[in-house]
Amino acid sequence: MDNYNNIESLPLGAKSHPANTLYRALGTALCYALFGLGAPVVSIILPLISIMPVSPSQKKQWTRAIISKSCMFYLNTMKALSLLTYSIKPTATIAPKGKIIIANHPSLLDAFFILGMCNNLCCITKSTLWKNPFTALIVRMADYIPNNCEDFIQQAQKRLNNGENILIFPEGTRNYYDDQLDFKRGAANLAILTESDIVPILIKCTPRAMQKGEKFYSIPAIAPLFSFDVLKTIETKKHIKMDSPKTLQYRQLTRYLIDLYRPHLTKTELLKSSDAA
Amino acid sequence: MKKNRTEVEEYIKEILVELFEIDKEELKPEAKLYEDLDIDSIDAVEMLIEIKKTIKEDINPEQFSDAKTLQDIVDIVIQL
Repeated sequence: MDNYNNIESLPLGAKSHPANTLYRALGTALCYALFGLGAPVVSIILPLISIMPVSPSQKKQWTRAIISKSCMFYLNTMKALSLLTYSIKPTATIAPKGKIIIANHPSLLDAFFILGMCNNLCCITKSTLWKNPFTALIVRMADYIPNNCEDFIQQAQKRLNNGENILIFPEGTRNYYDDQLDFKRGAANLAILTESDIVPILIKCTPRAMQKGEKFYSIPAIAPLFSFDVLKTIETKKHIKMDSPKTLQYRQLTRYLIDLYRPHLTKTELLKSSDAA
Repeated sequence: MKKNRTEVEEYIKEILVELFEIDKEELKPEAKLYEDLDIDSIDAVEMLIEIKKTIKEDINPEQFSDAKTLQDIVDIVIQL
């Protein structure tokens, strides 16, 4: 991490070299294949759990535990293959209760990490996953919330009251550069309407990898380092004017969240943004 | 109930300024609610609640489902 300039101390995949890039390209392909194979394994285990004589909430716990463990296994496989390195602070699994977990969103792997490091996590997923035969059972058994759900807030409230946590990326989708910080108001809407506190996670991916708009086979010159920092929990009520209209509260809280992340993220040079335009 | 267009327009503008921190200069009749004024679906619900408070008539949210601009909102409120 901090000794990233000291190239000799880095794992194999972190050195930029043609042979190394070829190695990582093959490794990446292997991991995509592994993911493709892993999903069917999960889809065999889950039906077994679904017919077991235990309570639905127990099945949900198990399903979420399987998802969490599979994600960590997958990431550790990538780490073992020197395709990435990561650091998570604090190191232990975080165990919030009834919180909204938010994070900035540079990479495709962000959700895998957060699912792996946080227990009892409910995700808001694309509604298409509920129709896809490979994922329909997983999202149902894990009791996730589809993003087109009409009583979305009530569904979220029910889970938060139950001590579960809800993951939401305020950007809504992966960003194009680190300090883009184009937060939608959805996370603030959710926190205010359910009167929940927020656990912010700061993600850094250096160099950026598996970002939006990139071909799945394009890999950075050196293996990326992912760092995850769990920041101090935000007491939602402290950062909004309770007597102002809800619509203004959403905006206040969203601005607060953006301001919280901004100092942690490297400023993108103006040149880069004009290149992208 | 007959409503005066200028009055209704002023009234809607007031709501938008108050609820969504929008500068009054931005509130041109053709301003698009979602794109130009950054109003989302949750905001729209709050706006309808606010309108309902004043005009004291039943509002069916579906009447507003096609509204895209400030002008559209004014037209619908006039016809209520």
